[in-house]
Amino acid sequence: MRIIEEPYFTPDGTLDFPFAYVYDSSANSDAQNILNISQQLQGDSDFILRRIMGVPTVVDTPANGGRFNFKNASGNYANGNPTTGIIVPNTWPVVPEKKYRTNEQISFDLYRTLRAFNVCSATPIYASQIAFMGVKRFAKGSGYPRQITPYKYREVRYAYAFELTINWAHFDNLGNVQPAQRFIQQMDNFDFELLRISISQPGANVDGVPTALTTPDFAITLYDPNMHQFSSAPLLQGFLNAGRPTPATSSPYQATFPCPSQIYPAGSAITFDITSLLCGPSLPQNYEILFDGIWRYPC
Amino acid sequence: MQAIPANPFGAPVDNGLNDTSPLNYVDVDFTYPYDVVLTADQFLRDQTVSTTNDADFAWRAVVIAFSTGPFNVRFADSQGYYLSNGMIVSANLQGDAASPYPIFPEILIPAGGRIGIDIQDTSGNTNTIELLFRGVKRYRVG
Repeated sequence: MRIIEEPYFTPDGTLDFPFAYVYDSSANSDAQNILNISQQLQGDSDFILRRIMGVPTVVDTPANGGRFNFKNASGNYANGNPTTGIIVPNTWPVVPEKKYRTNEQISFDLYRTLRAFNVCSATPIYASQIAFMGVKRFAKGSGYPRQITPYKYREVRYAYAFELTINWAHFDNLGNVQPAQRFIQQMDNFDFELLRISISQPGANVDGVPTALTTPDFAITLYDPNMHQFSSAPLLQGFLNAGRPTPATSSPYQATFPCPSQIYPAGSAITFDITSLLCGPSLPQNYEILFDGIWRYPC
Repeated sequence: MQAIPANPFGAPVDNGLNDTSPLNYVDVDFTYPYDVVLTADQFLRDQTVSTTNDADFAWRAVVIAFSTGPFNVRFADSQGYYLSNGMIVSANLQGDAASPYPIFPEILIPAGGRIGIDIQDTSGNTNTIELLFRGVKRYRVG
């Protein structure tokens, strides 16, 4: 059968909620082989794994032996080379998707670790994460609220541009990690369906062409209208950023988030926490976060 | 069953792809790697990636995960039938894991079978290569 364009079907009554389980490797050491790492799932739902992002931020280059492998829920490896791993780029689609049940774990191996970092004098700021992207699948009758627009509407393209200034560094003067800061983008007028997020710096330009942000300047924790997190920990901005570095180049992680889309009712807000990964001397930095989507215009 | 509206900006893999396993089988994502280090201009014929005995493998895509130079390659199925009339330059198999070179329609390699490979360095230098054969293990459940 060649028909591949068809709606995705889930079991009756279940709710798919976009989610990312984040493994932060900041606490690892470099040049190690670390096997059977467990990314424990939260106890509220099954998880459907569809994409793995960020492996090159956690292991060394392929030429130096950086490799990765992971396991199915059954405990069998998802790839060959069970003793050496395989080379995995920025983004690794999982097709068909893999289901991990409530309270199970995603087990994986890292070969020759090397943590990506932002230079900040003698103390590096690590930007080293693997994101297991997919959806939480809430069971029928779990009571998790589904967002439904209660009025008749037509769809109108709309976007919210949020101007963000980061004026705090990752470390304070005493070398302690500074907490995340919270921001909100109010949903005025109508329900808003969030389809994609792109992030850039005003004026960023390469050879006369505007360019999206590609460096891990900060991490984001994004919330739904009911203040449920979309990720288990702050995500590097690149994992959410669908903006293109050049017109001909896709975003480094080929990101589209949230997927499936998320409805923010009128009067609610897109809430997000920003964790600075910047070094003090580079402050302040200005960004624009574009929340791109659809207004549900009453008719 | 309920249909989930697709995010038009999202890739099919992110929106979700329905289970297309044949009746009484379940398909599980799997990748067989092939690692080789070729000396300058070396030509290796009839190399083999053996499939495991637990399930048939539906081969759907090729990824050149890594190479230190250009090379030529030709593949064969488990019966030894070549998939092209000659060697293919690696630049014509471009892709990465997110957008691999597709094998369509899929080729079924039986459990305990093999993917055949002829491979030749064309860089004139030592060439370290990893090829990934992406697809699904097809487990019988019925």
